Amino acid sequence: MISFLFFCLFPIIPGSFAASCAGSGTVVLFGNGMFNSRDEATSSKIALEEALLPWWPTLNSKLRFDVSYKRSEPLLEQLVNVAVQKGVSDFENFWTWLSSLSVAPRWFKDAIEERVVTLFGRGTTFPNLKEHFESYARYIRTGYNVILVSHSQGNFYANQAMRNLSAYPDGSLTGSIEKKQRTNSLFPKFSNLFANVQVATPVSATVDTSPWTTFKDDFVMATLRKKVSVLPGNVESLGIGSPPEGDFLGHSFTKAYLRNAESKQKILRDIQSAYIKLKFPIAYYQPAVMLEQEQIEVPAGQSAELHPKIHAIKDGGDLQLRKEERLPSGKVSYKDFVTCFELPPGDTKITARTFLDGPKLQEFRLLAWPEGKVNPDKEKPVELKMLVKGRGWRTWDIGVILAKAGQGREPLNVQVEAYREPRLR
Amino acid sequence: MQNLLFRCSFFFLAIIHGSGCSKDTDDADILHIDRTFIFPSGFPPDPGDAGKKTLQGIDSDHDGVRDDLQRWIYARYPKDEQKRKALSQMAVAYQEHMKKDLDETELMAVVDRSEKSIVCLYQTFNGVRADVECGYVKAKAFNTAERTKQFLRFDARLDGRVLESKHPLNIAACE
Repeated sequence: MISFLFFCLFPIIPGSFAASCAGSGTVVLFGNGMFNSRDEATSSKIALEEALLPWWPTLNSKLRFDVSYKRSEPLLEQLVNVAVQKGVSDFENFWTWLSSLSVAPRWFKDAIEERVVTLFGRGTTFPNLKEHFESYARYIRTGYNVILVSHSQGNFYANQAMRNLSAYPDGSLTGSIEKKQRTNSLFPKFSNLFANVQVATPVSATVDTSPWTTFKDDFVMATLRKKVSVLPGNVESLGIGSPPEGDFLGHSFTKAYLRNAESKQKILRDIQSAYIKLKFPIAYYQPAVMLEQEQIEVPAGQSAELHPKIHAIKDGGDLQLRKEERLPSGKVSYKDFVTCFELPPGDTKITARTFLDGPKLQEFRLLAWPEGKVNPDKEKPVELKMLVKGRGWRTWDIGVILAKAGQGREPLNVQVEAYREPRLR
Repeated sequence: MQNLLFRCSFFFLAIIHGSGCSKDTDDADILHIDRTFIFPSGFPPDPGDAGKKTLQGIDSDHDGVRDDLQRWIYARYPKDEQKRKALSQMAVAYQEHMKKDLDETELMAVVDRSEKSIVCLYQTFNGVRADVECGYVKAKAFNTAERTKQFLRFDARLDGRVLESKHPLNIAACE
Protein backbone atom coordinates (compact mmCIF):
# COMPACT_ATOMS: atom_id res chain seq x y z
CA MET A 1 0.00 0.00 0.00
CA ILE A 2 2.74 2.39 0.95
CA SER A 3 4.63 1.49 -2.20
CA PHE A 4 1.54 2.22 -4.26
CA LEU A 5 1.02 5.59 -2.59
CA PHE A 6 4.64 6.36 -3.08
CA PHE A 7 4.46 5.79 -6.80
CA CYS A 8 1.31 7.94 -6.91
CA LEU A 9 3.19 10.76 -5.27
CA PHE A 10 6.20 10.50 -7.56
CA PRO A 11 4.83 8.93 -10.71
CA ILE A 12 7.07 10.39 -13.34
CA ILE A 13 10.46 10.31 -11.73
CA PRO A 14 12.50 7.29 -12.65
CA GLY A 15 14.41 5.91 -9.70
CA SER A 16 15.87 2.97 -7.95
CA PHE A 17 13.58 1.32 -5.46
CA ALA A 18 15.43 -1.19 -3.32
CA ALA A 19 14.90 -2.93 -0.01
CA SER A 20 17.55 -2.61 2.64
CA CYS A 21 18.01 -3.63 6.28
CA ALA A 22 17.30 -7.31 5.59
CA GLY A 23 18.60 -9.80 8.15
CA SER A 24 22.08 -11.21 7.55
CA GLY A 25 21.11 -14.85 8.10
CA THR A 26 21.20 -17.65 10.64
CA VAL A 27 24.22 -19.00 12.47
CA VAL A 28 24.02 -22.62 13.51
CA LEU A 29 26.55 -22.95 16.31
CA PHE A 30 27.83 -26.26 17.56
CA GLY A 31 28.61 -26.15 21.29
CA ASN A 32 30.86 -29.07 22.14
CA GLY A 33 30.83 -31.42 25.06
CA MET A 34 33.48 -32.69 27.44
CA PHE A 35 36.54 -34.63 26.20
CA ASN A 36 36.13 -32.93 22.83
CA SER A 37 39.11 -31.21 21.30
CA ARG A 38 38.58 -28.38 18.86
CA ASP A 39 39.08 -30.54 15.76
CA GLU A 40 36.42 -32.98 17.00
CA ALA A 41 34.05 -30.09 17.64
CA THR A 42 34.75 -28.91 14.10
CA SER A 43 34.07 -32.39 12.74
CA SER A 44 30.76 -32.48 14.64
CA LYS A 45 29.83 -29.09 13.21
CA ILE A 46 30.56 -30.27 9.67
CA ALA A 47 28.66 -33.52 10.27
CA LEU A 48 25.66 -31.44 11.34
CA GLU A 49 25.96 -29.29 8.23
CA GLU A 50 26.21 -32.44 6.11
CA ALA A 51 23.09 -33.88 7.76
CA LEU A 52 20.94 -30.76 7.72
CA LEU A 53 21.37 -29.37 4.21
CA PRO A 54 20.21 -32.40 2.18
CA TRP A 55 17.47 -33.12 4.74
CA TRP A 56 16.03 -29.64 4.26
CA PRO A 57 16.80 -28.70 0.65
CA THR A 58 14.51 -25.67 0.63
CA LEU A 59 16.38 -24.05 3.49
CA ASN A 60 17.66 -20.73 2.27
CA SER A 61 21.35 -20.20 1.74
CA LYS A 62 21.82 -17.46 4.34
CA LEU A 63 23.02 -20.06 6.79
CA ARG A 64 26.43 -20.51 8.36
CA PHE A 65 27.86 -23.10 10.70
CA ASP A 66 30.37 -22.12 13.40
CA VAL A 67 31.82 -23.72 16.53
CA SER A 68 31.40 -22.46 20.06
CA TYR A 69 34.37 -24.14 21.68
CA LYS A 70 34.81 -24.64 25.41
CA ARG A 71 37.01 -26.78 27.59
CA SER A 72 35.90 -26.28 31.17
CA GLU A 73 38.86 -27.99 32.77
CA PRO A 74 41.99 -29.82 31.60
CA LEU A 75 40.08 -33.10 31.48
CA LEU A 76 41.96 -34.42 28.50
CA GLU A 77 45.27 -33.63 30.19
CA GLN A 78 44.08 -35.53 33.25
CA LEU A 79 43.21 -38.54 31.09
CA VAL A 80 46.67 -38.38 29.50
CA ASN A 81 48.23 -38.50 32.97
CA VAL A 82 46.08 -41.46 33.93
CA ALA A 83 47.16 -43.24 30.75
CA VAL A 84 50.85 -42.53 31.46
CA GLN A 85 50.43 -43.86 34.99
CA LYS A 86 48.84 -46.99 33.57
CA GLY A 87 51.94 -47.53 31.47
CA VAL A 88 50.46 -46.54 28.12
CA SER A 89 53.29 -45.62 25.78
CA ASP A 90 51.54 -46.12 22.47
CA PHE A 91 49.22 -43.13 22.34
CA GLU A 92 47.57 -44.34 19.18
CA ASN A 93 45.46 -46.41 21.57
CA PHE A 94 44.66 -43.44 23.76
CA TRP A 95 43.14 -41.58 20.84
CA THR A 96 41.28 -44.56 19.41
CA TRP A 97 39.74 -45.22 22.84
CA LEU A 98 38.78 -41.60 23.25
CA SER A 99 37.28 -41.39 19.75
CA SER A 100 35.53 -44.73 20.13
CA LEU A 101 37.50 -46.16 17.24
CA SER A 102 38.26 -49.15 19.43
CA VAL A 103 36.85 -50.38 22.72
CA ALA A 104 38.59 -48.84 25.70
CA PRO A 105 39.82 -50.86 28.67
CA ARG A 106 37.82 -50.77 31.87
CA TRP A 107 40.22 -48.40 33.67
CA PHE A 108 39.90 -45.86 30.87
CA LYS A 109 36.10 -45.85 31.08
CA ASP A 110 36.32 -45.63 34.87
CA ALA A 111 38.54 -42.56 34.55
CA ILE A 112 36.00 -40.95 32.22
CA GLU A 113 33.12 -41.85 34.53
CA GLU A 114 34.92 -40.42 37.56
CA ARG A 115 35.49 -37.12 35.81
CA VAL A 116 31.95 -36.91 34.46
CA VAL A 117 30.51 -37.35 37.93
CA THR A 118 32.98 -34.94 39.55
CA LEU A 119 32.56 -32.21 36.99
CA PHE A 120 28.81 -32.33 36.51
CA GLY A 121 28.12 -32.96 40.16
CA ARG A 122 29.98 -29.82 41.15
CA GLY A 123 27.48 -27.36 39.80
CA THR A 124 25.68 -26.20 36.74
CA THR A 125 27.16 -22.77 36.20
CA PHE A 126 30.59 -22.24 34.76
CA PRO A 127 32.81 -19.16 34.67
CA ASN A 128 34.67 -17.68 31.73
CA LEU A 129 31.91 -17.60 29.16
CA LYS A 130 32.62 -13.96 28.36
CA GLU A 131 34.13 -14.66 24.94
CA HIS A 132 31.12 -16.75 23.97
CA PHE A 133 28.71 -14.06 25.11
CA GLU A 134 30.68 -11.42 23.20
CA SER A 135 30.55 -13.52 20.03
CA TYR A 136 26.84 -14.25 20.37
CA ALA A 137 26.14 -10.55 20.92
CA ARG A 138 28.26 -9.72 17.86
CA TYR A 139 26.23 -12.10 15.69
CA ILE A 140 23.03 -10.40 16.77
CA ARG A 141 24.52 -6.93 16.40
CA THR A 142 25.44 -7.79 12.81
CA GLY A 143 21.99 -9.06 11.87
CA TYR A 144 22.24 -12.81 12.47
CA ASN A 145 19.94 -14.91 14.60
CA VAL A 146 21.49 -17.91 16.34
CA ILE A 147 20.62 -21.57 16.81
CA LEU A 148 22.97 -23.09 19.37
CA VAL A 149 23.10 -26.87 19.03
CA SER A 150 24.74 -27.92 22.25
CA HIS A 151 26.06 -31.33 23.15
CA SER A 152 26.78 -32.86 26.55
CA GLN A 153 28.54 -30.35 28.81
CA GLY A 154 27.92 -27.65 26.21
CA ASN A 155 24.30 -27.72 27.37
CA PHE A 156 25.26 -26.13 30.69
CA TYR A 157 26.88 -23.26 28.80
CA ALA A 158 23.85 -23.06 26.54
CA ASN A 159 21.53 -22.73 29.54
CA GLN A 160 23.70 -19.92 30.87
CA ALA A 161 23.46 -18.13 27.53
CA MET A 162 19.70 -18.64 27.40
CA ARG A 163 19.32 -17.19 30.89
CA ASN A 164 21.82 -14.33 30.82
CA LEU A 165 22.63 -13.24 27.28
CA SER A 166 19.58 -11.02 26.89
CA ALA A 167 20.72 -8.69 29.66
CA TYR A 168 24.44 -8.95 28.86
CA PRO A 169 25.97 -5.53 28.11
CA ASP A 170 28.57 -6.56 25.56
CA GLY A 171 31.86 -4.81 24.93
CA SER A 172 30.62 -2.89 21.90
CA LEU A 173 28.82 -0.44 24.23
CA THR A 174 25.74 -0.70 22.02
CA GLY A 175 23.73 -2.02 24.94
CA SER A 176 22.28 -5.41 25.78
CA ILE A 177 19.62 -7.08 23.69
CA GLU A 178 17.02 -6.00 26.26
CA LYS A 179 18.20 -2.43 25.97
CA LYS A 180 18.10 -2.57 22.18
CA GLN A 181 14.52 -3.76 22.44
CA ARG A 182 13.65 -0.89 24.75
CA THR A 183 15.30 1.58 22.37
CA ASN A 184 13.66 0.22 19.23
CA SER A 185 10.20 -1.29 19.64
CA LEU A 186 10.59 -3.27 16.40
CA PHE A 187 13.71 -5.06 17.66
CA PRO A 188 12.69 -8.70 18.35
CA LYS A 189 12.80 -10.08 21.85
CA PHE A 190 15.62 -12.44 22.82
CA SER A 191 13.56 -15.62 22.48
CA ASN A 192 12.97 -14.72 18.82
CA LEU A 193 16.67 -14.20 18.17
CA PHE A 194 18.44 -17.03 19.94
CA ALA A 195 17.38 -20.67 20.19
CA ASN A 196 18.91 -23.71 21.78
CA VAL A 197 18.67 -27.34 20.69
CA GLN A 198 20.15 -29.68 23.28
CA VAL A 199 21.67 -33.09 22.60
CA ALA A 200 22.78 -35.64 25.22
CA THR A 201 21.98 -33.17 27.91
CA PRO A 202 23.06 -33.37 31.55
CA VAL A 203 20.87 -30.45 32.65
CA SER A 204 17.86 -30.87 34.89
CA ALA A 205 15.79 -28.47 32.79
CA THR A 206 16.20 -26.54 29.57
CA VAL A 207 15.43 -22.83 29.35
CA ASP A 208 12.43 -21.44 27.48
CA THR A 209 11.19 -24.95 26.62
CA SER A 210 14.22 -25.66 24.45
CA PRO A 211 13.96 -29.17 22.99
CA TRP A 212 16.43 -31.94 23.84
CA THR A 213 17.42 -35.34 22.51
CA THR A 214 18.99 -37.97 24.78
CA PHE A 215 19.30 -41.71 24.30
CA LYS A 216 17.96 -43.79 27.11
CA ASP A 217 21.14 -45.88 26.87
CA ASP A 218 23.58 -42.94 26.72
CA PHE A 219 26.23 -44.29 29.10
CA VAL A 220 27.52 -40.87 30.19
CA MET A 221 24.06 -39.56 30.95
CA ALA A 222 23.04 -42.79 32.67
CA THR A 223 26.14 -42.58 34.86
CA LEU A 224 25.37 -39.01 35.76
CA ARG A 225 21.69 -39.66 36.33
CA LYS A 226 22.62 -41.92 39.24
CA LYS A 227 24.18 -38.95 41.05
CA VAL A 228 22.30 -35.82 40.05
CA SER A 229 19.02 -34.72 38.52
CA VAL A 230 19.23 -34.99 34.74
CA LEU A 231 16.53 -34.76 32.08
CA PRO A 232 15.29 -38.22 31.11
CA GLY A 233 16.24 -39.98 27.92
CA ASN A 234 13.63 -39.47 25.19
CA VAL A 235 14.97 -41.62 22.34
CA GLU A 236 13.99 -45.26 22.51
CA SER A 237 16.35 -46.78 19.98
CA LEU A 238 19.88 -47.76 20.95
CA GLY A 239 22.58 -45.12 20.87
CA ILE A 240 25.35 -47.50 21.80
CA GLY A 241 27.12 -49.00 18.82
CA SER A 242 30.23 -50.87 17.82
CA PRO A 243 33.41 -48.98 17.07
CA PRO A 244 34.76 -47.62 14.85
CA GLU A 245 31.58 -46.15 13.30
CA GLY A 246 29.47 -46.54 16.41
CA ASP A 247 30.12 -45.18 19.88
CA PHE A 248 30.53 -47.69 22.69
CA LEU A 249 29.28 -45.03 25.13
CA GLY A 250 26.24 -44.04 23.04
CA HIS A 251 27.16 -40.42 23.68
CA SER A 252 29.11 -39.11 20.68
CA PHE A 253 27.39 -36.41 18.65
CA THR A 254 28.48 -37.84 15.30
CA LYS A 255 28.80 -41.56 16.00
CA ALA A 256 25.68 -41.92 18.14
CA TYR A 257 23.26 -39.01 17.79
CA LEU A 258 23.70 -38.23 14.09
CA ARG A 259 24.21 -41.88 13.18
CA ASN A 260 20.97 -43.16 14.69
CA ALA A 261 18.03 -42.36 12.40
CA GLU A 262 15.54 -41.60 15.21
CA SER A 263 17.79 -39.18 17.11
CA LYS A 264 19.04 -37.58 13.89
CA GLN A 265 15.48 -36.91 12.72
CA LYS A 266 14.57 -35.38 16.05
CA ILE A 267 17.61 -33.12 16.16
CA LEU A 268 17.06 -31.90 12.59
CA ARG A 269 13.36 -31.30 13.24
CA ASP A 270 14.22 -29.36 16.40
CA ILE A 271 16.62 -27.17 14.41
CA GLN A 272 13.98 -26.67 11.75
CA SER A 273 11.40 -25.59 14.36
CA ALA A 274 13.89 -23.18 15.90
CA TYR A 275 14.74 -21.75 12.49
CA ILE A 276 11.09 -21.14 11.68
CA LYS A 277 10.47 -19.51 15.07
CA LEU A 278 13.37 -17.06 14.87
CA LYS A 279 13.29 -13.56 13.48
CA PHE A 280 16.26 -11.52 12.34
CA PRO A 281 17.66 -8.81 14.54
CA ILE A 282 17.94 -5.28 13.20
CA ALA A 283 21.64 -4.89 12.50
CA TYR A 284 23.04 -2.20 14.72
CA TYR A 285 25.59 -0.56 12.44
CA GLN A 286 24.13 -1.51 9.06
CA PRO A 287 23.39 1.54 6.90
CA ALA A 288 19.84 1.78 5.59
CA VAL A 289 21.05 3.93 2.73
CA MET A 290 24.48 5.26 1.86
CA LEU A 291 25.22 8.53 0.05
CA GLU A 292 28.76 8.66 -1.24
CA GLN A 293 30.61 11.59 -2.74
CA GLU A 294 34.15 12.36 -3.63
CA GLN A 295 35.81 15.70 -3.13
CA ILE A 296 34.34 18.07 -5.72
CA GLU A 297 36.54 19.12 -8.61
CA VAL A 298 36.20 22.85 -8.95
CA PRO A 299 37.58 25.03 -11.77
CA ALA A 300 39.98 27.82 -10.83
CA GLY A 301 38.23 30.85 -9.42
CA GLN A 302 35.17 28.87 -8.38
CA SER A 303 34.09 27.33 -5.08
CA ALA A 304 31.44 24.65 -4.52
CA GLU A 305 29.96 22.61 -1.67
CA LEU A 306 27.61 19.61 -1.55
CA HIS A 307 25.79 18.63 1.66
CA PRO A 308 23.55 15.53 1.52
CA LYS A 309 20.93 15.40 4.24
CA ILE A 310 18.95 12.41 5.52
CA HIS A 311 16.12 13.96 7.53
CA ALA A 312 16.09 11.39 10.32
CA ILE A 313 15.61 12.91 13.74
CA LYS A 314 14.83 11.22 17.00
CA ASP A 315 14.38 12.86 20.40
CA GLY A 316 15.70 16.06 18.87
CA GLY A 317 18.92 14.40 17.74
CA ASP A 318 20.17 14.15 14.17
CA LEU A 319 20.69 10.48 13.27
CA GLN A 320 22.78 11.08 10.17
CA LEU A 321 26.33 9.74 10.41
CA ARG A 322 29.36 10.47 8.26
CA LYS A 323 32.48 8.49 7.45
CA GLU A 324 35.49 10.01 5.75
CA GLU A 325 37.98 7.95 3.82
CA ARG A 326 41.13 8.96 1.96
CA LEU A 327 41.23 7.21 -1.41
CA PRO A 328 44.40 5.94 -3.14
CA SER A 329 44.08 8.92 -5.51
CA GLY A 330 44.57 11.24 -2.54
CA LYS A 331 40.99 12.51 -2.72
CA VAL A 332 38.67 12.29 0.24
CA SER A 333 35.46 10.26 0.03
CA TYR A 334 32.49 11.13 2.25
CA LYS A 335 29.83 8.60 3.17
CA ASP A 336 26.59 9.82 4.78
CA PHE A 337 24.12 7.30 6.17
CA VAL A 338 21.55 6.39 8.79
CA THR A 339 21.64 2.97 10.40
CA CYS A 340 18.78 0.50 10.15
CA PHE A 341 18.62 0.34 13.93
CA GLU A 342 18.21 4.10 14.34
CA LEU A 343 15.90 4.66 11.39
CA PRO A 344 12.57 6.09 12.56
CA PRO A 345 9.35 4.53 11.23
CA GLY A 346 7.55 6.37 8.44
CA ASP A 347 8.94 8.43 5.56
CA THR A 348 12.38 9.97 5.77
CA LYS A 349 13.27 12.44 3.07
CA ILE A 350 16.72 12.64 1.55
CA THR A 351 17.83 16.00 0.21
CA ALA A 352 21.03 17.71 -0.82
CA ARG A 353 22.11 21.33 -0.59
CA THR A 354 24.52 22.69 -3.15
CA PHE A 355 26.47 25.92 -2.98
CA LEU A 356 28.22 27.54 -5.88
CA ASP A 357 30.26 30.68 -6.11
CA GLY A 358 31.70 31.20 -9.58
CA PRO A 359 30.82 31.86 -13.20
CA LYS A 360 31.08 28.35 -14.68
CA LEU A 361 28.66 25.45 -14.89
CA GLN A 362 29.31 23.09 -11.95
CA GLU A 363 28.47 19.40 -11.76
CA PHE A 364 27.70 17.90 -8.35
CA ARG A 365 27.78 14.09 -8.20
CA LEU A 366 26.50 11.68 -5.57
CA LEU A 367 26.40 7.91 -5.54
CA ALA A 368 23.33 6.65 -3.70
CA TRP A 369 23.40 3.06 -2.45
CA PRO A 370 19.73 2.22 -1.76
CA GLU A 371 20.70 -1.07 -0.07
CA GLY A 372 23.27 0.57 2.18
CA LYS A 373 26.44 -0.62 0.40
CA VAL A 374 26.50 -3.61 2.74
CA ASN A 375 27.62 -5.84 -0.11
CA PRO A 376 29.05 -3.56 -2.78
CA ASP A 377 29.81 -6.44 -5.15
CA LYS A 378 26.14 -7.32 -5.39
CA GLU A 379 24.52 -3.92 -5.05
CA LYS A 380 24.21 -1.26 -7.71
CA PRO A 381 24.49 2.39 -6.80
CA VAL A 382 22.44 5.13 -8.45
CA GLU A 383 24.44 8.02 -9.82
CA LEU A 384 22.82 11.36 -9.05
CA LYS A 385 23.95 14.44 -10.98
CA MET A 386 23.04 18.03 -10.26
CA LEU A 387 24.11 20.71 -12.73
CA VAL A 388 24.26 24.21 -11.33
CA LYS A 389 25.09 27.58 -12.81
CA GLY A 390 24.93 30.80 -10.90
CA ARG A 391 25.86 31.79 -7.39
CA GLY A 392 23.96 30.64 -4.31
CA TRP A 393 22.53 27.80 -2.25
CA ARG A 394 20.05 25.34 -3.76
CA THR A 395 18.08 22.46 -2.23
CA TRP A 396 17.37 19.22 -4.10
CA ASP A 397 15.05 16.33 -3.35
CA ILE A 398 17.12 13.23 -4.07
CA GLY A 399 15.17 10.36 -2.51
CA VAL A 400 13.07 8.95 0.26
CA ILE A 401 13.26 6.12 2.78
CA LEU A 402 10.09 4.27 3.80
CA ALA A 403 10.31 2.32 7.06
CA LYS A 404 7.60 0.23 8.70
CA ALA A 405 7.18 -2.94 10.71
CA GLY A 406 8.19 -5.98 8.71
CA GLN A 407 6.49 -9.29 8.16
CA GLY A 408 7.62 -12.84 8.76
CA ARG A 409 11.23 -13.09 9.84
CA GLU A 410 12.07 -9.46 9.08
CA PRO A 411 11.17 -7.09 11.92
CA LEU A 412 11.68 -4.03 9.75
CA ASN A 413 10.63 -3.29 6.19
CA VAL A 414 12.72 -0.55 4.62
CA GLN A 415 12.47 0.60 1.04
CA VAL A 416 14.63 3.27 -0.44
CA GLU A 417 14.17 5.25 -3.62
CA ALA A 418 16.94 7.38 -5.01
CA TYR A 419 15.80 9.72 -7.79
CA ARG A 420 17.93 9.44 -10.85
CA GLU A 421 17.02 13.04 -11.64
CA PRO A 422 17.13 15.10 -8.45
CA ARG A 423 14.40 17.74 -8.24
CA LEU A 424 15.36 21.28 -7.59
CA ARG A 425 13.09 22.86 -5.04
CA MET B 1 13.92 -48.24 35.20
CA GLN B 2 16.96 -46.00 34.82
CA ASN B 3 18.99 -48.43 36.85
CA LEU B 4 17.86 -51.26 34.63
CA LEU B 5 18.82 -49.34 31.53
CA PHE B 6 22.16 -48.59 33.03
CA ARG B 7 22.78 -52.25 33.75
CA CYS B 8 21.66 -53.13 30.25
CA SER B 9 24.21 -50.66 28.92
CA PHE B 10 26.92 -52.35 30.88
CA PHE B 11 25.74 -55.71 29.65
CA PHE B 12 25.89 -54.50 26.09
CA LEU B 13 29.32 -53.04 26.64
CA ALA B 14 30.48 -56.30 28.10
CA ILE B 15 29.23 -58.07 25.00
CA ILE B 16 31.17 -55.71 22.80
CA HIS B 17 34.26 -56.15 24.91
CA GLY B 18 34.14 -59.88 24.95
CA SER B 19 33.07 -60.40 21.41
CA GLY B 20 36.37 -59.94 19.63
CA CYS B 21 34.18 -59.16 16.67
CA SER B 22 35.61 -58.64 13.26
CA LYS B 23 35.12 -54.85 13.40
CA ASP B 24 37.50 -54.62 16.38
CA THR B 25 40.02 -56.85 14.69
CA ASP B 26 39.74 -54.84 11.52
CA ASP B 27 40.25 -51.69 13.47
CA ALA B 28 43.45 -52.94 15.11
CA ASP B 29 44.67 -54.00 11.71
CA ILE B 30 43.90 -50.59 10.27
CA LEU B 31 46.15 -48.84 12.76
CA HIS B 32 49.04 -51.18 11.99
CA ILE B 33 48.32 -51.86 8.37
CA ASP B 34 51.68 -50.47 7.29
CA ARG B 35 53.64 -53.06 9.29
CA THR B 36 53.04 -55.87 6.84
CA PHE B 37 52.48 -53.88 3.68
CA ILE B 38 54.94 -54.20 0.83
CA PHE B 39 55.80 -50.69 -0.31
CA PRO B 40 57.03 -49.68 -3.77
CA SER B 41 60.76 -49.24 -4.09
CA GLY B 42 62.06 -45.84 -3.10
CA PHE B 43 59.43 -45.39 -0.40
CA PRO B 44 60.80 -43.91 2.85
CA PRO B 45 61.76 -46.65 5.32
CA ASP B 46 59.91 -47.16 8.59
CA PRO B 47 61.45 -44.65 10.98
CA GLY B 48 60.69 -46.94 13.94
CA ASP B 49 61.29 -45.56 17.43
CA ALA B 50 63.64 -42.92 16.04
CA GLY B 51 60.59 -41.35 14.41
CA LYS B 52 58.98 -40.87 17.81
CA LYS B 53 61.84 -39.10 19.54
CA THR B 54 60.89 -35.56 18.52
CA LEU B 55 57.60 -33.77 18.09
CA GLN B 56 58.28 -33.26 14.39
CA GLY B 57 59.42 -36.83 13.68
CA ILE B 58 61.28 -37.79 10.52
CA ASP B 59 60.38 -36.72 7.01
CA SER B 60 63.27 -38.17 5.03
CA ASP B 61 61.87 -37.37 1.57
CA HIS B 62 60.82 -33.85 2.60
CA ASP B 63 57.33 -34.17 1.16
CA GLY B 64 55.84 -32.46 4.20
CA VAL B 65 54.38 -35.62 5.70
CA ARG B 66 56.15 -37.57 8.45
CA ASP B 67 57.50 -40.87 7.13
CA ASP B 68 55.46 -43.00 9.51
CA LEU B 69 52.28 -41.17 8.52
CA GLN B 70 53.17 -41.30 4.85
CA ARG B 71 53.66 -45.07 5.03
CA TRP B 72 50.44 -45.63 6.97
CA ILE B 73 48.40 -43.50 4.57
CA TYR B 74 49.79 -45.31 1.52
CA ALA B 75 49.11 -48.70 3.08
CA ARG B 76 45.62 -47.62 4.09
CA TYR B 77 44.49 -46.78 0.57
CA PRO B 78 47.12 -48.07 -1.86
CA LYS B 79 44.73 -47.92 -4.81
CA ASP B 80 42.92 -44.68 -4.10
CA GLU B 81 44.97 -41.54 -4.63
CA GLN B 82 42.11 -39.18 -3.80
CA LYS B 83 41.65 -40.71 -0.36
CA ARG B 84 45.40 -40.71 0.25
CA LYS B 85 45.54 -37.02 -0.61
CA ALA B 86 42.70 -36.23 1.78
CA LEU B 87 44.39 -38.15 4.60
CA SER B 88 47.75 -36.52 3.82
CA GLN B 89 46.17 -33.06 3.93
CA MET B 90 44.77 -33.89 7.35
CA ALA B 91 48.10 -35.32 8.50
CA VAL B 92 49.95 -32.14 7.51
CA ALA B 93 47.36 -30.05 9.35
CA TYR B 94 47.82 -32.16 12.47
CA GLN B 95 51.62 -31.96 12.19
CA GLU B 96 51.36 -28.20 12.28
CA HIS B 97 49.91 -28.49 15.78
CA MET B 98 53.39 -29.56 16.87
CA LYS B 99 54.84 -26.09 16.27
CA LYS B 100 55.48 -24.28 19.51
CA ASP B 101 55.22 -20.57 20.33
CA LEU B 102 52.87 -19.71 17.50
CA ASP B 103 51.62 -16.15 17.49
CA GLU B 104 47.89 -15.49 17.14
CA THR B 105 47.99 -15.23 13.35
CA GLU B 106 49.97 -18.45 13.02
CA LEU B 107 47.68 -20.21 15.49
CA MET B 108 44.56 -19.29 13.55
CA ALA B 109 46.24 -20.27 10.28
CA VAL B 110 46.67 -23.77 11.69
CA VAL B 111 43.04 -23.79 12.85
CA ASP B 112 41.97 -22.68 9.39
CA ARG B 113 44.03 -25.36 7.67
CA SER B 114 42.72 -27.95 10.08
CA GLU B 115 39.09 -27.03 9.37
CA LYS B 116 39.74 -27.09 5.63
CA SER B 117 41.28 -30.56 5.93
CA ILE B 118 38.33 -31.89 7.92
CA VAL B 119 35.93 -30.49 5.32
CA CYS B 120 38.05 -32.23 2.67
CA LEU B 121 37.63 -35.52 4.55
CA TYR B 122 33.84 -35.04 4.57
CA GLN B 123 33.96 -34.33 0.84
CA THR B 124 36.02 -37.47 0.24
CA PHE B 125 34.38 -39.97 2.60
CA ASN B 126 30.71 -40.41 3.35
CA GLY B 127 29.09 -39.35 6.61
CA VAL B 128 30.46 -40.82 9.82
CA ARG B 129 33.30 -42.44 7.87
CA ALA B 130 34.94 -39.01 7.55
CA ASP B 131 34.89 -38.67 11.33
CA VAL B 132 36.36 -42.16 11.64
CA GLU B 133 39.17 -41.49 9.16
CA CYS B 134 39.91 -38.21 10.91
CA GLY B 135 40.21 -40.15 14.17
CA TYR B 136 42.68 -42.61 12.66
CA VAL B 137 44.92 -39.88 11.29
CA LYS B 138 44.80 -38.13 14.64
CA ALA B 139 45.74 -41.31 16.50
CA LYS B 140 48.68 -41.82 14.15
CA ALA B 141 49.73 -38.15 14.25
CA PHE B 142 49.71 -37.83 18.05
CA ASN B 143 51.10 -41.28 18.77
CA THR B 144 53.35 -40.36 21.70
CA ALA B 145 52.67 -38.77 25.09
CA GLU B 146 54.72 -35.71 24.12
CA ARG B 147 52.87 -35.19 20.85
CA THR B 148 49.56 -35.64 22.64
CA LYS B 149 50.51 -33.11 25.30
CA GLN B 150 51.66 -30.60 22.67
CA PHE B 151 48.38 -31.04 20.80
CA LEU B 152 46.46 -30.38 24.01
CA ARG B 153 48.56 -27.27 24.73
CA PHE B 154 47.62 -26.00 21.28
CA ASP B 155 43.99 -26.90 21.85
CA ALA B 156 43.87 -25.14 25.22
CA ARG B 157 44.68 -21.83 23.53
CA LEU B 158 41.34 -22.05 21.72
CA ASP B 159 39.33 -22.58 24.88
CA GLY B 160 36.33 -20.30 25.13
CA ARG B 161 36.42 -19.06 21.55
CA VAL B 162 33.75 -19.01 18.91
CA LEU B 163 35.45 -20.25 15.75
CA GLU B 164 33.93 -18.84 12.60
CA SER B 165 33.91 -21.19 9.67
CA LYS B 166 35.84 -20.26 6.57
CA HIS B 167 35.16 -23.47 4.70
CA PRO B 168 31.52 -24.29 3.96
CA LEU B 169 30.88 -27.88 3.03
CA ASN B 170 29.69 -27.01 -0.47
CA ILE B 171 33.00 -25.45 -1.53
CA ALA B 172 35.84 -27.75 -2.56
CA ALA B 173 38.39 -27.98 0.25
CA CYS B 174 40.79 -30.65 -0.94
CA GLU B 175 44.14 -29.26 -2.05
